[in-house]
Amino acid sequence: MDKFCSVLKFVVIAAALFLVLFQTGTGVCAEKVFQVGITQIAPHPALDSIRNGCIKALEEAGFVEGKNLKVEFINAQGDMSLTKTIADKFVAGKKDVIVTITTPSSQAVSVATKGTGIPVVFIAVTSPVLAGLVPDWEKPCSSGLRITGVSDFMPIKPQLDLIKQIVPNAKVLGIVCNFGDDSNTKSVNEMRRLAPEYGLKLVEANVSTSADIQSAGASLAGRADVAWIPMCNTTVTGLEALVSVAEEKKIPLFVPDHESVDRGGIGALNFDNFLLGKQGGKKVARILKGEDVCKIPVTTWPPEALKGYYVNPKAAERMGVSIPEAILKKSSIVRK
Amino acid sequence: MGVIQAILVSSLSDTVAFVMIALGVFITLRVLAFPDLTVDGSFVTGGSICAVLISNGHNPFLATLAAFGAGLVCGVITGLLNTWLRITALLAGVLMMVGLYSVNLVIMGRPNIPLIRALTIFDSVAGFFGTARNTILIIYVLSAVALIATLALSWFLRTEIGLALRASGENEQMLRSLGADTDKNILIGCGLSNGLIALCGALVSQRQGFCDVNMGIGIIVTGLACVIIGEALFQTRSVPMMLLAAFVGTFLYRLIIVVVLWLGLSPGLLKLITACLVIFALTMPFIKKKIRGEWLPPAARF
Repeated sequence: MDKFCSVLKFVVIAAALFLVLFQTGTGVCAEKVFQVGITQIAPHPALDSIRNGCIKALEEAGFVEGKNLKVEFINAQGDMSLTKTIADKFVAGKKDVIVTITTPSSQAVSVATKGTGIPVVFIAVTSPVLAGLVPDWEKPCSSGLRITGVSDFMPIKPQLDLIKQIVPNAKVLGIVCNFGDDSNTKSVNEMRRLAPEYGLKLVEANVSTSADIQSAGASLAGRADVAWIPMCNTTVTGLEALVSVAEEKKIPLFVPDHESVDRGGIGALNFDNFLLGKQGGKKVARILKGEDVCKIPVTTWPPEALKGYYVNPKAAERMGVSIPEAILKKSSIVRK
Repeated sequence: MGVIQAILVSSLSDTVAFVMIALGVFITLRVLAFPDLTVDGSFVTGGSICAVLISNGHNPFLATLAAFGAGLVCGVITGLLNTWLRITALLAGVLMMVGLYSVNLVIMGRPNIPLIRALTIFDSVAGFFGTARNTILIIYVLSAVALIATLALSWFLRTEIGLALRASGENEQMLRSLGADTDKNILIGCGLSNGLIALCGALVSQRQGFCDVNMGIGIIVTGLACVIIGEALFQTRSVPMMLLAAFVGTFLYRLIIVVVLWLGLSPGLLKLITACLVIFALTMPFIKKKIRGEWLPPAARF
């Protein structure tokens, strides 16, 4: 029993410490300070720039952090059971708007806000209808949910155009991604539908965790002439492993975003995640200014976010192809 | 709502949602002495069976019960791998965990099923009482389920079958020498444990609004942490107290997570905090012995 008492003492001391910490955190402010909660499922460069874009758009709309805006950001660090806990915290904190980046975070927050009237703005949900967040892009609210947002579905056709221009003789395209991650389902299905139009057959290599990337990449050797990954968090996290295999086996590797081109992929569409985030941020600002969230439709990449291509000629050389002049003209070029 | 109150409500809500993982791990690890890793898979199996049934318009209570049944089957298969095919417990669990990932994908037909607008047990109960779904109602519903499960387990472990289960965990060889069938006990224990965990997966999916094929990752670790923390606090051998320990362990574990979130620390730190906490809980008895100058047994390798 003495042990239990000492543990009790420890708990009491911890609780006291914790009270003191909280007292210092509360301040009084005259101007209305809007409370915005932002959550994302995991640390990831693309998701981070989306978040920064969102905050930037809020700033441009006159909501400046530290002045009339308080942003609370919590990253679930890949732990799905945390999404609900984070959602509960934001709801208990009576946020004015909650911004959710990625599908699981958006789902958990939307359920937690059900009936509370707290508006939710999701960003980087590939397929908001399939994810059950909205019934319709034009009329996003339903059954107690006040939600709208921005989808990050990346059009497949321009990606195939790029692949065909750089590797014109390609016959078989290898997809490397986590087929168990729903955010890839729509892109992979689109690729399955469109690839035959470009004369491409498909082989698929599954990556359940980033530890599988090396072997998934190696499995393409001799089977595929070109490799492609959708916006797959699992593969992108451990991209270097795939790049080294692609260089060794001379399989040109096409990647989903420009951060991945920096890290050794040949090319990607030059979509600006920052602008996607900004588009979400603009929606948040409209809601903070009093607009009804239900009247703001779900949108996707703004036209200005499509900036041509993003290519890495040195990576192309290492994977045994060269990039035609015509592409280079339309591209931002990485020299790594 | 005050900060302290909000933290308590949030961690209580998480506790009653996840306590059945601790109960399940407690059955295999402590009662049966069978380290079962099926958990990461069966948790999602429960969630996916339930999510598929609910989104096809079936009764949410039946769907949740079906999840329990599915978990039961998973556990029995792990048990059979061990008792029939003589695969070691750890390996049998790992194989099931890996295999279930694919099974779960097949059950769901896609990696993520939303339950945001579906009729869950929480919505049914709320509808019955004529209110809307809210945090407190969810806590009541989950507490009721957890309480029933705990009382049933407490009763079961003191029945003849339950006693045999405990005996086979304590000293399998002795039980065999008495002519008892310990294989049967392993099947019952694993089945029950995974049934509870699948039930938990079903409840958690309905609570968080989605079932995702990746949501089981690390569930076994949280279950172990909760059981071990509880044990360090309550060193007892009576069944009800051990179940209470699982509750308190889960509560402390969840409380720490919520406090870390509320303090604005990175949840990335949680894994380290959990690891340290479990190391602390595990070594407490040894430190005590060391102080008293008693003999320390060497570390077990298995």
